Amino acid sequence: MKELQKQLHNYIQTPQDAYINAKLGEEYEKIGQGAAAHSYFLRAAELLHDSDPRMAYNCFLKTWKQLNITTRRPDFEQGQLQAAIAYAPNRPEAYYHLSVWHSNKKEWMLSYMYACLGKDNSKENIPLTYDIGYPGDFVFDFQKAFTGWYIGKRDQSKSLFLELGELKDIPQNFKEIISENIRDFGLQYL
Amino acid sequence: MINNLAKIVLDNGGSITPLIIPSELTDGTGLCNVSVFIDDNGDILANIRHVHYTLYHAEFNQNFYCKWGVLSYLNPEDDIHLITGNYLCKLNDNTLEVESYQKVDTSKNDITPIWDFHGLEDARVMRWDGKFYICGVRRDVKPNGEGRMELCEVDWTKDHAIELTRDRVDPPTKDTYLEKNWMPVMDMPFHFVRWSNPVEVVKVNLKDKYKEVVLKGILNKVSSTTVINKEEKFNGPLGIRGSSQVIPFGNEGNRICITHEVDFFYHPGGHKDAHYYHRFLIWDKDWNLKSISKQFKFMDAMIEFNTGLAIKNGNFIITYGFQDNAAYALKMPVSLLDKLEWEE
Repeated sequence: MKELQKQLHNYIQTPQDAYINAKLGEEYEKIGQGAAAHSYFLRAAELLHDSDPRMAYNCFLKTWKQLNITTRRPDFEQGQLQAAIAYAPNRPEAYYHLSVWHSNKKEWMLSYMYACLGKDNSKENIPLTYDIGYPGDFVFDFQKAFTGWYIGKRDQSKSLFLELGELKDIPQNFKEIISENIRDFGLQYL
Repeated sequence: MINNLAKIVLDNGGSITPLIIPSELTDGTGLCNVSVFIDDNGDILANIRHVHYTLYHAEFNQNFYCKWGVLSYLNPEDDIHLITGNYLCKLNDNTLEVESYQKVDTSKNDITPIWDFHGLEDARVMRWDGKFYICGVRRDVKPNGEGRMELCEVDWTKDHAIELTRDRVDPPTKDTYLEKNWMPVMDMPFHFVRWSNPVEVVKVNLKDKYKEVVLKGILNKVSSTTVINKEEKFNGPLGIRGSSQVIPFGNEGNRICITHEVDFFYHPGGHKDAHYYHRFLIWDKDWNLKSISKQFKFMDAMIEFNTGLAIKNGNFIITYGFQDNAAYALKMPVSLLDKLEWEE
């Protein structure tokens, strides 16, 4: 609450400072107040639309993130991710989350497509200021391996899982899924 | 025009406090439109409106559309009704933070809602004749969304807040579609300012009770009568509507409130959008308009909405919602009124 108060005071002194709006949004997000966080991140995104596209993209994705946490707004989520890609097609994060959005619905071809688009188009990968849950560029191969299995690309899927199995610096939850697939498909004997 | 009342308040010894209900209870959706009230024992009580949506509202150049435009109620997509719940809260005397809260249990009086908006919206709080009430607009009992003020007595203890009674108020003029934002006159039990400019004061006739059968149940209703109807009008650019309660002010029988006005426009995408503005308004003891401030915004946002005003220890406590997504309490020294801009 103390930090929230501090950022709120900063906001009131300069309510059209985009970076202060974003900091206030971040403080609200930390205490689970997603709606309030959403408002301040959206203000920040608008204020930075022309002057700092990377930060604007980051803040705009934060508006997606709040409702992703709230749940039960899948169409909104999809729209925000699509709009984020349209605004910054060279960034990887929205492609990844849109790929996951489709794989959660078992829309394997669309999920695979966004994984391919993300892998090929993500030229700008300077880390974002605020976390929106992007574990790293390996996720596109992971999504391709996962969804490719269902759309007739099983050889590609196997070889991608094997390549992913060689990676060291990836989150543990991904490591476990990759290992399970390598084991379940008997890939370790290939 | 004051763009940022909160800054003036902070720069002059006041304070601001975010009002929070834990997200475990709200899924992080919007808290807004708070009404505040000083109880007989000095406790600072408030009602926080919980809307079950997050409001998407792009401001400034409005470049970032969501799927449904720059202004959209992000309801659960498997239940797109616009649902309101209410939390009665005790605020800390010094910090104004929420110290304790109870969700108002309306189950005793609920009937199945049949319109898009569910629940009691923008409830103001007051104690009249020793009974604790909330009063807001409900629109869910008729298929056309007719809105009427509903006066609800609440039994509020440490353990519960139960709506005991619910009386739907018929306005003095018939055939209106939407009655809302009636401002309770705190020192005149069961009186409301129905219209602010020119002022119309109505009295709710609690003894004139009757029932109305509607599609899904039976409504308890009461009538109301206009008791003051002035002609003097402030000629402003927009229609002036009710916001806070009306509270006694000073030693000469004056009363003060905060009003709101809405400037609707269509942005380049063709969708309806709005700026909300507020004003302080003072009447003398005979309900003649004495002073009206210039328009102000609380915190620079397009959509803000005040529903509460109280005075304690030389400070106004002003409560409001920001973009329907956040709730705040502003503590403003009463003397600061003199530093604001007022209409001639």
